[in-house]
Amino acid sequence: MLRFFLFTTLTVSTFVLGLWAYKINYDSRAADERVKELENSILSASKEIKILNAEWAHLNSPERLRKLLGYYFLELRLTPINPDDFISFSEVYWRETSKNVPAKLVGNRLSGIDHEE
Amino acid sequence: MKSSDGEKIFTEHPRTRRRLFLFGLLVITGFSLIGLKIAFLASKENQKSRSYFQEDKIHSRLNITDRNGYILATNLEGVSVYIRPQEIQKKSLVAQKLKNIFPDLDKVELIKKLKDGRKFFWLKSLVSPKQEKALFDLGQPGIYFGKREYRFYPYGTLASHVIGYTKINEFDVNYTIISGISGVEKAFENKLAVKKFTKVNKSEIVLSLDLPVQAEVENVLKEWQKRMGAKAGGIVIMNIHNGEIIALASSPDFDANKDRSGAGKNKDASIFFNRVVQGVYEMGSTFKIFPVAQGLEKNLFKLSSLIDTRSFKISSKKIEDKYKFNNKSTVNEIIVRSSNVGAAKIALMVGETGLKEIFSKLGLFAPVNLELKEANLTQPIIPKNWRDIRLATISYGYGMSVSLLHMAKAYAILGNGGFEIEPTILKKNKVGHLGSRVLKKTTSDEILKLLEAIVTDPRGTAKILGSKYYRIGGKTGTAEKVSHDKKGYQKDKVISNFVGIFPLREPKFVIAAFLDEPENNFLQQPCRYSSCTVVPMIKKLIERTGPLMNVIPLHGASKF
Repeated sequence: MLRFFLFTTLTVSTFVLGLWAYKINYDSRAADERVKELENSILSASKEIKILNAEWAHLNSPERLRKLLGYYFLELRLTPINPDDFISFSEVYWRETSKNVPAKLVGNRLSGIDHEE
Repeated sequence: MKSSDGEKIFTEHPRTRRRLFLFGLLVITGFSLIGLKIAFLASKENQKSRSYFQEDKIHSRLNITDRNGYILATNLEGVSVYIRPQEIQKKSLVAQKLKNIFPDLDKVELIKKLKDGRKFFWLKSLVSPKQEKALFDLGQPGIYFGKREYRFYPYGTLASHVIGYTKINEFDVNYTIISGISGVEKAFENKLAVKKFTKVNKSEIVLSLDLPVQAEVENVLKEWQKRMGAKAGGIVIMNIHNGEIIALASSPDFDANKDRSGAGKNKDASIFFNRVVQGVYEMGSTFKIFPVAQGLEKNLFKLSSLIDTRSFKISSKKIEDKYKFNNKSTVNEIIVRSSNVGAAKIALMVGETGLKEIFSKLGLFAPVNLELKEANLTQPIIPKNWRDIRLATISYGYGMSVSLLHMAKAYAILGNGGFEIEPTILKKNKVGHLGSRVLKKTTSDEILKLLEAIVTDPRGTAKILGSKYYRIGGKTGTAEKVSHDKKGYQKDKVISNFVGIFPLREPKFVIAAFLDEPENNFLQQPCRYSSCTVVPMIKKLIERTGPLMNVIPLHGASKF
């Protein structure tokens, strides 16, 4: 009886193990395929990104932007940045109410939400 | 074996056990062999797929970007076309169809190639996507497409001399090997050429150049070159503390995207010459600051010391000035009004050893140690004998030739407090002085005062640089060019240059610029001096690039 039990267990476990090994084999192959697929799609995506980056750089080339500036000057009125565009903190125009407020408080007010008084 | 009642049915053969054992062993060996074979096959298959994937990706080239990350050079994948004539039946018809797509093809030659029995030939090394589609739509067997990487420079001519250019070294149906010929492309060839497999390549070469500044510099340079009718020109802006080159422009320039072989034939090959790095010129009065620096370093005089500025003779050559000077002038006045006599006198005071000492400290005797190969190969032209007449002429910039980059480096050392620097084209993460001290702090301070006086003094040669926005100091120089027979100098052909430090409140950049054979015809009389050709360009340049380089103007705006 014991022997029969032993044989049955062995046979069944052999089958199970065989099935398991078979499954693992196929799973790993599938995983491998998937990795390859993913790597390829990463590669093609990165190539695409590269092309888009290059195109973006080309579209933003200073020479082209300069031409566009001329073309759209009437609408946009953009001029090159020049030293006049920098002003010192003391020259910032504050509203009447903030005239006597110390600078620190002004800073707080600017970071606050309440801008409309 | 026993039956259920325990009676023996047949007796065991004496060798049964051994036979069963042997049989079992055989079965196990057989199965394990099969198992091993399977494992072997499986592993081999994996390797095969991997290696195919690897081959797919090698032979690439990294991007080059500026300090902000703007892409200056990148590799893109294009398509090349090759033909296997044996697979084509109606050869003349196909030739005509190909001719329709590529009008520049020679039809007769194409038919010859198709018919002479060769197995393979390249039709086009790089085709546009439109042409690729047209070819594809032919549906013609025998026409094949191959991958072809090519180098793309999105900004065309921008910073072309720094970036350099490449050539295709080797190609096949599925790969291209590109190698650098000049500039950064050559200097960093080993880093740029990717030969190992990496999944996603994120590394790139980050240059110290600042693209917006570079664009503005080139813009101003080209405009003023045109305005002054100059043959060529160059500008370099460098950080005086860590030697980072922020902008470097040499005009005329080239577009590395265009086929170089064509450019060589039709255009002047000199467009590939980096005038800032490779061109050595006699610089004229910009040299005057060097003997003065040595004199200050050795406490031979102060800026207020008086020096005899009457014209005099050495070895039968008379040294004199264009303008009238008093019999005695201060060192300050000599530099501010740029007196040749004064500079020569100072050089004679400093002497041969003194002059050699300051030149070697400032790096004027050796090639600049920049990463670019062009710089390493550019040897300054140094006189062999240093007789008194030679000392005198060198003091005002004749008899010794250096590149503009040398001048920028020398002035940077004078202006940064006296620290040695190495110009670099790579972005450095370190700020502050990197080199050791070679000059005294006081010498540097005095030189900065002197350079500012040239701008602020009403008689200064660079007085038009006076600006309400920025404090700048610098020295002008105008050198006549050696005539073609190399015997004398040409009065009407000059190299005008300027080297300055900016902003003086907190010295940060050195700006060096030159124009080759400029002439300002917008004045009452034509003027070739630096003060009326290069200096106005510098004024414009500083107003345009100052805000871009985060230099805060002296006082706020006037419009509020």
